[in-house]
Amino acid sequence: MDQYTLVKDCLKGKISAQKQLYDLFAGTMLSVCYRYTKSTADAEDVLQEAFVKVFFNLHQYKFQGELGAWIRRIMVTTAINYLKRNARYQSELVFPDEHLHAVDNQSDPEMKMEAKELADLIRQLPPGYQTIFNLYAVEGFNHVEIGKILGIQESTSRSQYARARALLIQWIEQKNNAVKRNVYAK
Amino acid sequence: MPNEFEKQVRQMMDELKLVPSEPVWQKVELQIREKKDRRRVIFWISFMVLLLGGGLWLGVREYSNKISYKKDSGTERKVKKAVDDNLPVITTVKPTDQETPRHTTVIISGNKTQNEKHGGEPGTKNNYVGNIEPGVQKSFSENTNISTQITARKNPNLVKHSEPEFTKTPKNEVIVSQPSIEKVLKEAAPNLAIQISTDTTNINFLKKKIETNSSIIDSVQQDSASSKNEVQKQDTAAIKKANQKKYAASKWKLNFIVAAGTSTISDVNLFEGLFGSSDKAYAAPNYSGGSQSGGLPLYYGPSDIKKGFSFAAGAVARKQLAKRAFFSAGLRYNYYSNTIQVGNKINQSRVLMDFNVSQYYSNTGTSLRPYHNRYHFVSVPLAMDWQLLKKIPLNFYTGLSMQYLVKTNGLVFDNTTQSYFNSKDAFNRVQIFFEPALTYAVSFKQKTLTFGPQLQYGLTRLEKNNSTYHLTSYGLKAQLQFGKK
Repeated sequence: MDQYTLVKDCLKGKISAQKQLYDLFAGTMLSVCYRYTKSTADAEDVLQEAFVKVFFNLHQYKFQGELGAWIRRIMVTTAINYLKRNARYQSELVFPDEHLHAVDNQSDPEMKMEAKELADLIRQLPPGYQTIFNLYAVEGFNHVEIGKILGIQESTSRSQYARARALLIQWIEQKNNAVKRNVYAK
Repeated sequence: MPNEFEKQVRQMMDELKLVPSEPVWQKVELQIREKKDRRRVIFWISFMVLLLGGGLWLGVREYSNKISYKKDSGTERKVKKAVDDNLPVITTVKPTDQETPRHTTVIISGNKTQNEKHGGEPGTKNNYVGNIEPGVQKSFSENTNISTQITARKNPNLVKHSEPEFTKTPKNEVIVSQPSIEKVLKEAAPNLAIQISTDTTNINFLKKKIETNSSIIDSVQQDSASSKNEVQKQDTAAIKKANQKKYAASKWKLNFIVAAGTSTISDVNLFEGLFGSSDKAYAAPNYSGGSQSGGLPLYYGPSDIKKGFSFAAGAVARKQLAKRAFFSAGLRYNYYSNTIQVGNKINQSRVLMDFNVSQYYSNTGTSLRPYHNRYHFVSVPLAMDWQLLKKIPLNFYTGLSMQYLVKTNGLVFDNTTQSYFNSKDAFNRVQIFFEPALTYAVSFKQKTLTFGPQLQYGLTRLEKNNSTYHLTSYGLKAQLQFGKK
């Protein structure tokens, strides 16, 4: 079934088509939710909430651009709203409105790990860093847009991203070194 | 600017796929159904509330009209009837501007027979006129006060009995019904003033007489109330009967209808929202595919649709059903059109969507040109309309029309081959349209012209395939009726 027919069938309320659409995108979208949250249960909560939104706003999709990208935007928005209203994340999402010290640019590390491992490292970042890192590095938003989305200053987004990036690179390098040591040990 | 690190991260994250647990879909499905059900319930509740509210409002207005009619004309008839029947009638007269608004003038027309029996002069009626102040139990006109005041000075007990009882309704209507007592007192009081010091037996006699009269008054009051109800019932029935006769006898009046506006095809179910845009229905994708779309094939959807001209003309017969309710039925011609963009015309016999076609239009070519879809219908409109306001001829129409597709050059889009083709058989020949309208009427030279906005929405699907396209038209409607409403 092509995408157009699939969407049309979903709009008609056909459950089989809705399940098909869900199956098509659930895997990719869960990884998006996974990166923004701290637990798989939370990620699945976001996924569920976002898919309900997808089905109820599908009539707004005008076939202009990829359906996957459209659904992904809904996932990201839902994830951020989830973090904002969830007490566990809320405290750590408060961004002090101060100019943090920029971190020196580090050289890009080698990526000798699986995608899942990298996602797990991103999840280990403090929620504030985690969100900004995801929005900038993965979703491709600029700092002005991130500032608007999170209600923070552009400079705050920029400096927090720099810290998040530095921290992540540090962890990646540590992991790389650990792998190297294991290889040498063998 | 994102550097190599960000690119690598993005690439790796795009590749990442996780498998959600089974309950996630179950919860999603459950929520979708619940919301859908809730939407339906909300729609139907709103619809029913509107319908009931409208009906109730119309009913109340009709009822209030009847009441005002009765108030205007019923009083005289009631008085006449009651007098003829020898029954006491209590009439409340509204105070004029000059009178104190806190006073209500009461006219008591006494029963001839009762008066004669209990001391009243034969052949005369006791008419008492007095101003009744709210909260005060008695206040008679000058003539009646004289006897009462004298009696009160001489014997308070007698006054207690001789005072006429005033029952005040919430509408400040005063019911006073002691014509016989008053008559007795009127005559007895001056005599009592002289006799009371010497002869107390007369007082006792009067007391007894008053007591007797009290019981008679009670029975008269009951008779009065029952006769009043009877009169009201008879009035209501008579009015109802007269109205029914009047409306049944009202003739069918010929109306010519002309309507013009724009039409389009909406891809929306009325029950999900009325004004869906055609963009949604026909917005063509440029491209779909790539990693995030799940590797679906390249797809060119159907063209955008532009609104076209719509027109209707016909005649209906209109009949008055109630004071402000009308019914109409007739015959009409309907024309709808819209414009789409199509590619090259290919003259080749082919089976598209189970229809044999000799030519079709591609949808993937670069040279697109406009194509006008035209639909010709013959329809039978059935409508009810109500005059919303008493004095302003503003009418709300609602109705259905059954329309038969006589001719069309309309194109149908085949998703599989991504091409357009024309086949009359691909359309549902019989369509049901919902047609609400709001009109204003102007009368001139024994004619009535009504005009106003009108919506026509196809409740049935336009095409036989799985598409959910509905013909929709909105514009101005004008209706000329011969003979004033």
